[in-house]
Amino acid sequence: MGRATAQTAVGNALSVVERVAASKRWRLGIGAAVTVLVLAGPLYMNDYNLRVATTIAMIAVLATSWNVIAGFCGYLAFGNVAFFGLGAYAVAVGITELSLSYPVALALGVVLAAVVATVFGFPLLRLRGHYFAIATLALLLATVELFNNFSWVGGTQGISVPLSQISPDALGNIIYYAMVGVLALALLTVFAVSRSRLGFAMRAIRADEAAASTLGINTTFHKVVAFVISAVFPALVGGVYVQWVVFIDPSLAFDLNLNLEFVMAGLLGGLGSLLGPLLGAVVLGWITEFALSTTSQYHLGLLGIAIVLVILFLPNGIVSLGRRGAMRRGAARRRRSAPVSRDDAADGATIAAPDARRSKL
Amino acid sequence: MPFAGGERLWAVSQALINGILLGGIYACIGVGFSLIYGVMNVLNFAHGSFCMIGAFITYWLFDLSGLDPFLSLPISMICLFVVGYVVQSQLIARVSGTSIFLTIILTFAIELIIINAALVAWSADVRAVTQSYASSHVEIAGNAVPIVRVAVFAIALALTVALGFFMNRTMTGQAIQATALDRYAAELVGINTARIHSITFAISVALAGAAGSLIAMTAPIDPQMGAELTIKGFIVAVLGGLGGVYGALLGGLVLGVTELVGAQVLGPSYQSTIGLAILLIVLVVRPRGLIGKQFFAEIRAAD
Repeated sequence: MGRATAQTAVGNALSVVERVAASKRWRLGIGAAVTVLVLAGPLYMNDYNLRVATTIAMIAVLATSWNVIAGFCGYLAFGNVAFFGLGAYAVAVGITELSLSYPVALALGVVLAAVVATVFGFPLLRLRGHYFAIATLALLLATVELFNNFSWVGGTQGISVPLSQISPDALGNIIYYAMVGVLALALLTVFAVSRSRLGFAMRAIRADEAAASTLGINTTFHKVVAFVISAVFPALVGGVYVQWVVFIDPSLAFDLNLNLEFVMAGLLGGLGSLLGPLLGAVVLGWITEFALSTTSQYHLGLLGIAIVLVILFLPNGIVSLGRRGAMRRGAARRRRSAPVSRDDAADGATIAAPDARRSKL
Repeated sequence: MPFAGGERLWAVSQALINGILLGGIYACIGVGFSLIYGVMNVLNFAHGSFCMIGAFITYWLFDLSGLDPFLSLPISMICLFVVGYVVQSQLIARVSGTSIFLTIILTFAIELIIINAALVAWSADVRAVTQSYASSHVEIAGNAVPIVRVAVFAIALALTVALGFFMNRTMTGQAIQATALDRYAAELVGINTARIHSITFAISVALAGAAGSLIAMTAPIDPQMGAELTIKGFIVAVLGGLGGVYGALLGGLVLGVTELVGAQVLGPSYQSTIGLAILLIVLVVRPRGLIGKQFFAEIRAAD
């Protein structure tokens, strides 16, 4: 009995969220408010919250760019934190060993990531599904081992980047805006890709790669492009990150927990949509902060439990709530305008054939 | 310099023997992993943490009641069989019909929960089981080999062979293979595939636990040992061809030998890199593994 009322309560709450998420006016309004809040961040956030917000922005960038290879193309790359680490190391080594200026070192990191993604993308992207996931993970682990063993990048001791002259407060603000800036750039790029032929090709690849290639889509090219996009942004934030924390070593640069965080953020928010990973990063950031502040001992376990709950109850991510809301509104509108047809499950196809179900071959 | 060369050769032959012995344990881990993938198309990222549970069961039984580790093996296997059955039927079964992403992430999450629980319960300290007979040796081909290692190898080998026997000669084993080939066809001939999935997972996890217990007898253990073991499981499973028992056995031996001999030649810090390099090479060059069937690899890869 209690279970039924709880279910109805959750159902009611979810349907309210669905209706809000589906309405265009609400979405624009919320978007504008959020943008203002984000840009004015340092004015009202204390140091701790600013740091949390910066981390959330970083994870949002990682999740959004990962979405291109995982959500659009359907290739679950499990090792993208390797590119983050590469970018971080490029900046660290560039500044300390090669005496490059910061922007040049950043560019070096980006180029390095793009090259690695291209070189390894070609052989790895021939693999499908599970094999691809394992292979990228293996690549990540091999990179960790390599960096642990290379003494010229500091080995397990890591590298320290010289402290800048700027005060910690100002540095915090600069890093915050840098991360937000990269996030905006990432969102714009992914938006542009998703509306372009590239995006359509990628989604076709996800739906059915063999069919896509028979339509003349060069699947290898598009997959590699997606992989490179998903590599370039992590390298960029990696470079920003190293300036923030001033020190990098293989365990920080190639952190498997970070890998899991942005994968989770993407999953939680909804892969395949533009804003999904961003939403997921925000929600995940809140959950992690909550978990850390209440009990730091159990925080990994709580994260695990949160993941399990999300998978069981919200497998398509938060964004799916918006889609479900839109579907309901569409069905309701059709019901209002076509009172003759009582079959709204047929989605408007009211041809009265006896067995109008399409069989899935 | 002949003396240095002779010493090198001896070191390599020592590594060879140790590699074979290690390979037995790797095979035990890999066979369970391979089975879960072959039958249920699930990558069990939590496999290593189940090994860790088995290792700690052996440790605590030894520490608290002095039970000989070899005797705790059946206990750890039974405990993990139950754990595996419950995890599969309650959690994994709910999502294994949907996308690959979700099952992978789910097993990752289960691993996080298990490791966190272990860290909280048992702290991150490294522990070791020290039996009284731990230092007795046996002579094999001029090398001194601890007798415990030989026994561990024999048991791991026996378990793997027993699994192969089970798969080929018993009704349940045949049902498992049928489910692996075609789930719907298996249902049509009356196999309860949900139950078979649970049993398969439970068996794999029991084997993982056995491997963990065996590891506890030869090396120090800690709650975070699982992650590396899962990777070894991957490598062995892919090397041997996902889904096959004897392939995993071969894969385990190959990995064990290559790792230790390679470590001898290149340096000990490269031991894990060798395994990963093998994995990458196999995935790119021959994804179906050493003796996997082409059929299986293609079917799975078409997801």
